[in-house]
Amino acid sequence: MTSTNRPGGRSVPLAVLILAVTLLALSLVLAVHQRERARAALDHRLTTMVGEETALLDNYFERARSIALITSHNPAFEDFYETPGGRVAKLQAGGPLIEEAYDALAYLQVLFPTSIGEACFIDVGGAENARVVRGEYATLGDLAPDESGNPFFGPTFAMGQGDVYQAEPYVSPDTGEWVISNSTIIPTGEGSKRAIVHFEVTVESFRETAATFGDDAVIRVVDAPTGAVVIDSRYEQAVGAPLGRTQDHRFGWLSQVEQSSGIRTLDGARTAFGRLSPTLGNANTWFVVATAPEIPFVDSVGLVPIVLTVVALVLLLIGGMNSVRVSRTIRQQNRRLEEQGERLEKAQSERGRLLRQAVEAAEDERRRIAAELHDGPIQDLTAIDLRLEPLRLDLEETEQPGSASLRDAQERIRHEIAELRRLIARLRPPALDERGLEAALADQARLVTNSSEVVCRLSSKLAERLDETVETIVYRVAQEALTNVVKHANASHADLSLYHRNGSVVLEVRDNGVGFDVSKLDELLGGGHFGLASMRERVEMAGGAWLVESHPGGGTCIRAEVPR
Amino acid sequence: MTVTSAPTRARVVVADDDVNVRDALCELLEHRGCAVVGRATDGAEAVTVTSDTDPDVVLMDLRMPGVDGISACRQIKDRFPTTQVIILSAYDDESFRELADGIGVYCYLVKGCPGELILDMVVRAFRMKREVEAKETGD
Repeated sequence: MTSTNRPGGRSVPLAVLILAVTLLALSLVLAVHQRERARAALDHRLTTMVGEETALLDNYFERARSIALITSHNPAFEDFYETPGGRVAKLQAGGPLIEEAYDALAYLQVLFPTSIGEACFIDVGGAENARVVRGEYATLGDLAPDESGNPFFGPTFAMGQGDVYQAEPYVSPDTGEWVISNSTIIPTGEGSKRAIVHFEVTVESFRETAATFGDDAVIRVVDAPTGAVVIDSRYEQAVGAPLGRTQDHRFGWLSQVEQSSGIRTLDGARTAFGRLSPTLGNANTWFVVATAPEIPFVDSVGLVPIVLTVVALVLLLIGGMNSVRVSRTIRQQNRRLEEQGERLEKAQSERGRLLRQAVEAAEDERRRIAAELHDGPIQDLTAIDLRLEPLRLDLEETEQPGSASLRDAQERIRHEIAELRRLIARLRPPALDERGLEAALADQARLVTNSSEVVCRLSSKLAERLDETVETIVYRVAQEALTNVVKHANASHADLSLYHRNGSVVLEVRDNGVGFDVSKLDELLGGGHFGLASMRERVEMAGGAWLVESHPGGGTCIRAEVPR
Repeated sequence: MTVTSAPTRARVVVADDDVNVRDALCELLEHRGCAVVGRATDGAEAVTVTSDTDPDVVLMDLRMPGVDGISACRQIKDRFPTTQVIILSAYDDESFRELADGIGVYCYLVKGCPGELILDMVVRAFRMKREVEAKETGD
């Protein structure tokens, strides 16, 4: 079974990862943007509510002030005093004089049809001259003898003509409701302060107005000095109940703010506030506060970022699963590669072993043939030559014919012996086995010097003999290298060096010949020229390193490094 | 008092594991007036025969089974310093010559050299031994 390695296998999960991260980033940006937009919309809505409610209240106070002044200018009130006679007598007399005053007060019901409670005409001494409650005219006996204790009485008379006092909320003695009083002095030509007109508007009417804003926002009116909630749009101001939510002091901080309006987050709610315009005579320093819960994250960011996030997470999941699969595939491929590497290593080891066996077998064969030549033909020819020697000597001494022929024959025999000896030396130099690598290389160097134009020298720093196989490999490399020097280098000198380095024996064969272009070494090795391939194969077979340095005209150095 | 006259014939031991060479050498030596007093087929036997016969010259091959020629030469020269040893080997390597020189052999001959040369060297070695012994006696 074979496996195919997909080049783009790892880029797919990477692309998915990049896409997922991009989508996540995009969804985050979109979410932040959407949330800011939603927050801005909410703030705008709350701020608008505050503005509208503030305007409504400002309008109310302004309108009430105007109506109070217009009412106070009704001639009925001034006529009541300009008409001669005592106050009580005029009241007891009744008639148009006092009825016109009642009508003027009753007309306020037309102007404030749902919110007005009580309106009255009060003498400077505190006694009521006329009173209308929800359109009902008071009888003479119902008139209060002394209204001076009411919260509006003193402050109103303290003001000048043309000013209106708008009191803080209080419970109306006539209706029991929380009301806001509007009172002003009845103007006279003399500038005297003889009486006031006064009418009350219910606090509940303000709440009803605020409640019309509806939805989830809450409108509150807060008393600035105390922080008390005097109006809460959600809760009806019931008769007999405390004012607003006076125990709710969460807006106490408003007494500290300097700005007239603003917005902030308070207890998880967006809170917009606005101050009512301060007006002379208005005792109510109010803030209008509009609050709404912060928009939930999901609601604020919208669907798109959520969908993008989900898609990104799905992509991450897919990418993760793909990564796991790719990792598993890579692990499997790595395992296969390791197995292949082990098989290759084993095969190389086996190849090396077989090569070593082959080389050793060849060396054994060379050694055996050399021994046979030594023990056989050389000995036999030597014996023959020696046996012929007495005969030749006798023939020469007796000057008999044939001695010359015999001498020629002996010389021929000796020549053959010499040839056989050279053959033995080439096959397996006896010195290599008997005396070791250094002695064998010394012989080889002398042989080269004596038999060629190359002066060969050996420099050895080996202290002891090496393993037989290592000696054989190094000797054969040197023999091959010297053969190349003699045949091809056109050198005058060749130097052999033997030394140890890092647990290996190093042989260097350096000549001063013509050299060659090492860039063509592979070509030479491939072609099997000069025995280079043989040298390298022997060295690498032994786990060593083989190196050749050369350049044209600069000689050649062959270095073999073989583990000991 | 016993007077021993100096021998006029060289007394030689021939050591070579090849019987043909050994016999041919003995035949040549005797033919030319030498006395072959012993024959050996290996180094150990050469030492024994030398010890037994006290030859003037030992003609020794190098490559022999068991104790080789070099070791035998070393033992002979140690025990019988005046006995001259001539190496006659099929090896012509300089390293063997140097080794033999180091031991103190008289000369190193290579098989295939003329028989006359062997005879000449045996005679010269014999004279050398005589001269050495004469000097020692004179001393």
